[in-house]
Amino acid sequence: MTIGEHVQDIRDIDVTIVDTDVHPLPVSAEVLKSYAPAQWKDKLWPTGNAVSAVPHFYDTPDSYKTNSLRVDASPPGGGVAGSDPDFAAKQLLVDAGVSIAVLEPMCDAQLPQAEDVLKATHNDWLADVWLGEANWHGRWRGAISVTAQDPAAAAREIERWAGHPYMAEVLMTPQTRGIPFGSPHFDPMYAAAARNGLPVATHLMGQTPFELIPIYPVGNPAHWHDFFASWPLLYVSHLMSLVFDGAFDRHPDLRVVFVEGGFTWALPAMWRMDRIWEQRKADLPHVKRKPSAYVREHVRFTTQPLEEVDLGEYRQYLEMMDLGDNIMFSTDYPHWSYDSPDWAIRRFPADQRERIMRGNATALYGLPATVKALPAELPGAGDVAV
Amino acid sequence: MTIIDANVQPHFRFNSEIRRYLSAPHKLRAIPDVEQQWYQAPGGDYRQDLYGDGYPGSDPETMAHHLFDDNGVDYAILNPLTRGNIADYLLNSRICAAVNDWLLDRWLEPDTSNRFRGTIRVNPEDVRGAVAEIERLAGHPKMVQVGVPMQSREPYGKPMFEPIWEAAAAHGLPVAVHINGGNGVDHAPTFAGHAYTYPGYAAFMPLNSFVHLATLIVEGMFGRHRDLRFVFADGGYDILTPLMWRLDTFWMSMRDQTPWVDRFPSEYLRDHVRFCSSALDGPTDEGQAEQWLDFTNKADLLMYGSSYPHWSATGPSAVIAGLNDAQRDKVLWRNANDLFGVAEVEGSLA
Repeated sequence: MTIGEHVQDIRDIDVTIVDTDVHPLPVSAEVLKSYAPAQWKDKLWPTGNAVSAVPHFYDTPDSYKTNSLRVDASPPGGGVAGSDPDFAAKQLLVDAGVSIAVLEPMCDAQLPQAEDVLKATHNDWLADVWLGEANWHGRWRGAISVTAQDPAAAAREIERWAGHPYMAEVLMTPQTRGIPFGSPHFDPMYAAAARNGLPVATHLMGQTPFELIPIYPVGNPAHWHDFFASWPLLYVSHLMSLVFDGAFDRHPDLRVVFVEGGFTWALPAMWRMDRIWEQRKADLPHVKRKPSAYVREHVRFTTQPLEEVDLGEYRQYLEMMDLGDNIMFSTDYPHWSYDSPDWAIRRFPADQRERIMRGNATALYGLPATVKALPAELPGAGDVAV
Repeated sequence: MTIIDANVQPHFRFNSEIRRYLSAPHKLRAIPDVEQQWYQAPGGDYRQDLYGDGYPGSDPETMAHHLFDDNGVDYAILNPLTRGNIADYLLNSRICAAVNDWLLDRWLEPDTSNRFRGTIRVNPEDVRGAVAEIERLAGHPKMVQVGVPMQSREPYGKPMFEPIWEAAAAHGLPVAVHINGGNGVDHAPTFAGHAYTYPGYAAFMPLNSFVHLATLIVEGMFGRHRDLRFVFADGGYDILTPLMWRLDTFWMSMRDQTPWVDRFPSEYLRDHVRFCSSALDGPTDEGQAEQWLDFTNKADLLMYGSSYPHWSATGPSAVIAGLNDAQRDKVLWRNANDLFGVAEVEGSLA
């Protein structure tokens, strides 16, 4: 064996950890604008809160200083956390040991046409800055950002990116201004996603402006703490709508990923749906199967933020829940409430760990079994930085 | 074993019956029907076999027969619905008072068996009126709690409601929150907007109790009022474990903003919070029921409540299926008696 062959062999490493929730940011508004159509360059900003930090009214700890980001994630060369693909690769892929990470930019705009352009602009930026040369290692995957306000436009945007080697999912806001996910309103978008084998992920988008926050049915809390603890009920609402309003019957290939909204609620949510379906089938003639069966087939949940509760009790709960095929690990890098893989993996029951950390995501996104190692991951590289 | 049914809805016999308890000019106002207008269950909200001469749940003798004879219940906590949140909050306060007067007149005072207990209904959108109504009726020995709608346009932890909770706590009366709306000035019932099906409404709606609960804790309401108790009467306790875990997880991080929350949020539950059972809560596999109740110590929080005469009304046996003896004891009787003290009332059957 020559040295060259030896290097060739070890440059591939096994995929062991897939991170399904990572947030890249444009390094500046000017950079993002450079991907916008000429006639929109001066119209989109600062309407969209993609880059400039608009004050959050549900602010996380030390928000003014940290902007909800990990303070140690700021690239040494300047720019905000999550804006430098190479530094993110060092911190998340090399140091934390993530094999493949799914990038989910966050942006929204008030008017549908502007939001469509803003999403398309983010897609062009993401494809170029993160999924282009910087992805020589093939360890980044991207989300196709779409506007939920105009599902026909969203469908066109999905078709524009379908077939891209690294665009792995569609990303829509859950803040759908009073339209639940099961509404036929979204059908063109779901059809395009399903047709192209792309899961539809949803993630909290801007916490600004206020009108994009759902009106909680009994009014909105005052603090991030009670606001965010209640946030999973938005996902419960959307999930019940998807099942009861027949979206999975209309789109048998649709897969939905609920990101960063917890997942332990899925157990009682499935029970509730099954119980009312058993008792009131006549009200739901279009729901052909037990609701929990739709969840197990069509829905995935990401893990961060994991609840920090008694470990033994937590594992017992996950065993009772038995959703080991539906849960996918995530870090939320570079945000402040980041969960590291080392910390997270111990919280899962032993027989669910491999599926949660890797298997469910590789199956859903069609990810490879091996990826290229970064230089710092090669044997003998030690702790040398990338 | 004594059984306490902590959630029963008595109804007026006819829509117009309430007008006997209203004075001019309220007698001639437009008032919503007994059954809610929006999101009514197809076929009616109540047990089909109880419709007939008057609304289901409107005849004390029939109710006594169903609860005390058929279900083996010893005491029943009556929590009548009002007519939901309506735009005219002053009229709503008069409706609440009329409901209270009717409850005393038709149910509590004629009840020589001494097995019914009542709820003082108040309108939280009229804080002074609500406090005055509590003061008017809190001394009645058979009034054992204060009742407010689940539906609200601000969560109940917000400070504008504090005088109501303070008055209830001062009289040792728990505050029962029960779905009571559907008349047009409520927010949409789910976080994602209006539901398109009745099951989509009914399965979700009880879960909104968590927002009230989370804000009561985070705003420090339980911390300031040692004697304040809340009862979430529609169930929804099955979502409690995951969401309380989430509230606990972020407690330490948020202490800068709400330093008065001086312990893990879940530590407030036992002293301040109870849930009534419901037909939509709990494992579908009875074999998991015992373990499920132990998560978040829910055995200390749960009280049997039938929801009679609702279509989903449940008997005690369905609620305790799969539970161990200690859990059954707490759910059927002990938790409710600790809260309401019904068995200590002179002349009771205990």
